[in-house]
Amino acid sequence: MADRMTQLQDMINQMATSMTNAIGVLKDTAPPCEFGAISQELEDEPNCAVFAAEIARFAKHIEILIDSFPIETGDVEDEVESKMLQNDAIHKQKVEELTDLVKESNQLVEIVQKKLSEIAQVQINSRPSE
Amino acid sequence: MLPGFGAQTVSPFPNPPEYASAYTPDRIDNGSAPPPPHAFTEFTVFGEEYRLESEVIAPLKNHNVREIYEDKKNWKAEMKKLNRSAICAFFDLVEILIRAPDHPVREEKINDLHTIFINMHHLINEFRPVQARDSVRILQERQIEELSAVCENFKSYLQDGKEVVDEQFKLVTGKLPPPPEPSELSRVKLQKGVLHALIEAQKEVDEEEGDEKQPQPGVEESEARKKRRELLAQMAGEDGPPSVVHLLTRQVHDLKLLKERSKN
Repeated sequence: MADRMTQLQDMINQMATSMTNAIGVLKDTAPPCEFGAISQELEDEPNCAVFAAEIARFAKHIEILIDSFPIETGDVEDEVESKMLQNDAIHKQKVEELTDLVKESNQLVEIVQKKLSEIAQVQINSRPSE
Repeated sequence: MLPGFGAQTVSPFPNPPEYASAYTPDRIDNGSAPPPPHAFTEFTVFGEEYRLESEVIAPLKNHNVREIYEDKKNWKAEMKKLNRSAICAFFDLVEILIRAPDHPVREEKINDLHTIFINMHHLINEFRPVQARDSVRILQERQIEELSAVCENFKSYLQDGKEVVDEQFKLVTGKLPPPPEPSELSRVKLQKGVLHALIEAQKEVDEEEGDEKQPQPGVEESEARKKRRELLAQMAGEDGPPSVVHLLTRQVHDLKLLKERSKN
């Protein structure tokens, strides 16, 4: 499932391919025809309708896909750039916040560890000596 | 390769550039080493050429293709126009082939169709950098959201941890509940405040020794002292199992002995 741009590119290529295929196949598989008159066989040729329908379908798909893009007209570049710089600043701030929290938690862990070692020491000392 | 082998070693890697000889450790410490050379703006990486000065998507003129679309800003409208033009061109081509299959105009029509398709692809390529910038922006926003969520969780955990630790510290430094009363079976007589009374008695003995040189205290105080001595005598009686008083008196005597010994 490629992104929409790639889908559009593929679809354009497919439409071009079917155009060339249509002309080529119809030329190669054409039954013989007389001058001036259109024979019944020619009229009954099914491939014409098939190819025509296919090309029309692709054209319609392409148009629908183009319409579905979230593109704004006009100069959006500057807006996007300023938004990105803003986001960068916010990101830095959040990272600072996180580092501060981590420092605090490290301190807390140190305190707890100190107390635990004190408790262990007292327990060792309070055991009956031999 | 070991030195002293004598053989010429051919290195598979290219030699460092000429200007690298200017950057000796001494010169760097001196500060006289030249500033780093400017980065290249045109180079080849893995066989692909990179030209950083030129625009991201080379304009069609570079490829000798005519530009059909007029307004780059109105992407959607231009693309739709091109789409319709392609269908029209195809229609015209088929008409020509039906009516005059060897007319030279058919070549023109084929070229027109060719140009239209190239233009369509070119418009899509032009849009790619915009898409990329937008993706980066959205990625940034998602990262910020994630970071915020992590920060919030972390804060709440840290808060919980701090509360628990504070509670534990209060437990340690706070007052313990009083010990339970001894049961009847142990026949231990709970004599409240015995040690305190003993210490007071000890103090009285010391005071009396000092008092002989001082005037006598008031009547009430001597009566209180007498009561205390009676209480002590009562508690120190020999009936029943060895009471707490005996143990404590023994301890106080031991402490006194230790003090005298350390003084001596």
